[in-house]
Amino acid sequence: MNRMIKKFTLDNDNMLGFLLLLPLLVVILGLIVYPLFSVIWLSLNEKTLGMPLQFVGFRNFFALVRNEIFYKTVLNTFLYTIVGVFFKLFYGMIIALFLNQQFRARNYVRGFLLLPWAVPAIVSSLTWRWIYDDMNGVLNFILMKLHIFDLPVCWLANASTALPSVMAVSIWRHAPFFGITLLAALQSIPKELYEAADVDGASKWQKFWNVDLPGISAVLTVVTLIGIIWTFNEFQIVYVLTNGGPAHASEVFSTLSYQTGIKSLRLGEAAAISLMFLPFIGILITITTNWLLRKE
Amino acid sequence: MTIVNGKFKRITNSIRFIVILVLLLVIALFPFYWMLVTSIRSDAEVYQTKQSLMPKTVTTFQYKKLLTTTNFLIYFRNSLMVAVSTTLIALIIGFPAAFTLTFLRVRGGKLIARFVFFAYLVPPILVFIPMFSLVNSLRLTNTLFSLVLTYLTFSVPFVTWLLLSYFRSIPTSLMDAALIDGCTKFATMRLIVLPLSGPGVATAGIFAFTLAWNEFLFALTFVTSDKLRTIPVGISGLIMGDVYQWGMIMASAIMASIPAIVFYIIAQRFVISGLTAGSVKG
Amino acid sequence: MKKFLFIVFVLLLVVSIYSIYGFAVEKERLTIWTEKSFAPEADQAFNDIVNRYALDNGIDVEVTNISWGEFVTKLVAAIEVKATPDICMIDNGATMQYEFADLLVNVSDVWKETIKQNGEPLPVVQMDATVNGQQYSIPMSVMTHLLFARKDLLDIKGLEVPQTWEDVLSASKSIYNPPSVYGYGLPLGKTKDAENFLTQILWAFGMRTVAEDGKTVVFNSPETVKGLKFIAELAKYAPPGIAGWDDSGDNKAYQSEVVAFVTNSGTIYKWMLEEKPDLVQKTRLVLTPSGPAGRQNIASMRSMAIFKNSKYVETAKKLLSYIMKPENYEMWLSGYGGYYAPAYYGTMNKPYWSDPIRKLFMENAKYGHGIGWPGPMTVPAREVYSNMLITEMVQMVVVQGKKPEEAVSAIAKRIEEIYARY
Repeated sequence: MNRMIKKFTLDNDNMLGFLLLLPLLVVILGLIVYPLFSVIWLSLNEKTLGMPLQFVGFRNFFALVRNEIFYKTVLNTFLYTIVGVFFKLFYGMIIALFLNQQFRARNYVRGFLLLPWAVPAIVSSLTWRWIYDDMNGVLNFILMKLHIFDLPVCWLANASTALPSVMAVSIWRHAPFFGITLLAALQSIPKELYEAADVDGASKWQKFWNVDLPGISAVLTVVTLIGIIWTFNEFQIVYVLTNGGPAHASEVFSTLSYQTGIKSLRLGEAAAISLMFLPFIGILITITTNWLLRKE
Repeated sequence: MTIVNGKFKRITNSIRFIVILVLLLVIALFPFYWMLVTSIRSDAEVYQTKQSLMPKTVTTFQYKKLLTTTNFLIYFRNSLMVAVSTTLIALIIGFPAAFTLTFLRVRGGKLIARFVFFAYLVPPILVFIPMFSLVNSLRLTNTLFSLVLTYLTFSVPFVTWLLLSYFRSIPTSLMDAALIDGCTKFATMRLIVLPLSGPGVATAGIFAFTLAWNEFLFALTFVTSDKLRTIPVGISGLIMGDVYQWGMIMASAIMASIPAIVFYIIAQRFVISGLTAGSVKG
Repeated sequence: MKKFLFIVFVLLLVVSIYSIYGFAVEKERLTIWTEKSFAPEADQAFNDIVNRYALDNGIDVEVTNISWGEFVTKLVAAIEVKATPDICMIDNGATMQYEFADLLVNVSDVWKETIKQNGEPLPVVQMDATVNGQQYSIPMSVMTHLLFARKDLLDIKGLEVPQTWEDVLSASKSIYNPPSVYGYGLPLGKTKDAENFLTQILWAFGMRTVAEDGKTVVFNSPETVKGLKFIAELAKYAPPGIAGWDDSGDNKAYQSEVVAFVTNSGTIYKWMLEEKPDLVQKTRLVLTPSGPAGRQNIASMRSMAIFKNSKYVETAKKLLSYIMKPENYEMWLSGYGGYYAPAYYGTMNKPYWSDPIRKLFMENAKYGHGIGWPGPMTVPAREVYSNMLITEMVQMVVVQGKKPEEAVSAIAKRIEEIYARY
């Protein structure tokens, strides 16, 4: 009798699953679908501020393809994302491995290393602006004191150093996110696996490759994907530091979209810019989620 | 011989450890050092032509000015309420969802999971306009709830997927053992997954919190009244035209970073490192 | 331990629920959005005036001060979603643009009353507020940029305070001494300051975007090329980081005594009075320098407009009239210390404006033009301005090393494209 009741109510996978997923579905449908389709619709129209929409089909997208500033932006954004995420992962991994050890005041160190992420982006961007300043900046001050450079370098005003300088700030800010998330993943690896590896006489590197990495592979994948998407869409840091300048040397999708939509008030084109790589990200998400949801 | 070798190894290990520790801390914290130093300087020193690395004056002036002449404490309270609410709701929605998608077989489950992640396809830069339209039609303009609601759009997918990835490290043998023992699937969520996902929940929580805490664009657009502003908007209000109130900006930055760090340090104490050996036996 | 966690959980839940219901009720009130200026005294004066009116007339008013950088973002969203404030402060050229989209209330009646009490408006101000003979905004102030010159550095070289741009160039060459001191601090980052200052130099050299009809694009001309070449030359004697300067870049440069000249409104002057009085002694303020084609500068204006979406149009009009009463208007304007010049001739004659520095700002305003000069202020003119095409053109030459002729024709093409759409 008990068994039968259980089967009908909470023990039925579908029913339980559905109930548990319901809030999620409400959030998704209500809050995400509408804005997403809104922006997609906007990109298919010509829209200037306050005026009604004028359907133009894919004209905005075609115009972008002919725009040379757009190509520079694409290059910059991809460079920014790929190089940026690589270093964030690398640096984050180092942090995670380091913090996984036992030592006094471990919790406090973990907290402090989170600071770059916890400080509001506007403020850390402004601070870095000051650090990079060619006239009053601390970075040039130190570099010149150490006689590495004779003259101050215009980190943010030079076309060649602008993008790397912004990337450095982005890496600085995001690495703790990777670090702390991977740390939690490392913490979930059962100790027996390490003990077994020790019994087999494994070296540190072998332990990393055979115990750590597989153990955190799921988290690593999710975090990397999220990192890619966030870096791809990064705005505050680039906007405050260089606003895409000088002469579009550090222009990325988000700044170009912002300039086109909010400053030049051509909202249709701005929407087109921000949607250009939607398919690319969509494919990335699909591949990753397929792998993550596979049945073992 | 071996005793000396052992000691030598331990010393080099210690040195290497400290070097890495110092390096990591310096990289993470030196801009923070500058923020801190500027926030305890007097106005005269802040605006000096020649900047110095060590503060010559130490004063709480900037903090006093921040707390008395601006509504910073009110902004702090608002940010706290919004961030806490968002985190809690995101966890309450995301945890069961992640559980379902990992351990249960639901029709269309894969599709739903993928669909959740597609939330990140929305370009954040322009989405604030249609989002504002939604908020306006729900008559939620100029309320904190509009922020809590809209922050769910990026925090729920994030929390769901992060927890999902953490859940995958929980061995299914444990789940099967529990089911054989007569547990309902719902009970396994409460009795097995919840305790074991400590690090995951803490991490997802702290990041949902910081995402909401630092969010700027929605907070700027949806909320107008000064008494309802959140910290990021409040801080940018300290920039008046082309005059930056550096002292107060840095003081507010320091104060704004404290909650996340404190919560995280405290949460660490409640996190159980790794699976306790006992649970796998039997 | 578990109990502790449970209590924490409950507390957090309570906090969440409070946040949901505590502030969910929206009161009906008249909303005013205005800028958060560099002068808190002015902002305060404005708030006081409005609150006084609210109290006397039993209405509920809320004034919000927003930093200009974010103002645009917030306003664009508000306009798109139709959640605009009742009264809003707008800048130059905005009246035209918003009226074109049929967003503003016709305030010609308030205008007539205002000029009756405060005197005739400056021509540039009249042009900004008027569309088809009707007024859609009430001007508040005109802000132009004087040349700040370091007299002490000039004295060392035995030079006079420059009156023309050519003088500025030769003085810059002479004073240029990296890395301690540079000539004219010319902003080149993608900012309003850069767009303003570069435009006014080009104007002084004869650049004209359109003819007087406001429709024919005449940008590609030998004068434009000459002006561009001049700017490229001037940029050589500026600090190396100018391409990365934001709006405060030139302020910082002058305040740290690294440059001999900048153009700026009163913000630097006000800062010097408060923080570095000795720098005030070393500074001379002059009208915007003139060039071969005369003395021109760009006038930044602030006006108040009423959005059509407002539910309280009549009240808003009355409030605006009240604010623009001479005693209120002057109190508000004086809060800016004289760095925002009045928009009306009558106000200029008041004793407050006899101070030599304030007189200088007022005098300079007379050479001010709006966007789209010499034609009327039009929507395409505003679009050219907000796209910051002049800055882009200069960046092409100074940062990317393109030839001036190429840059001019490239930008001329972009300008023609914009004008063709209207």
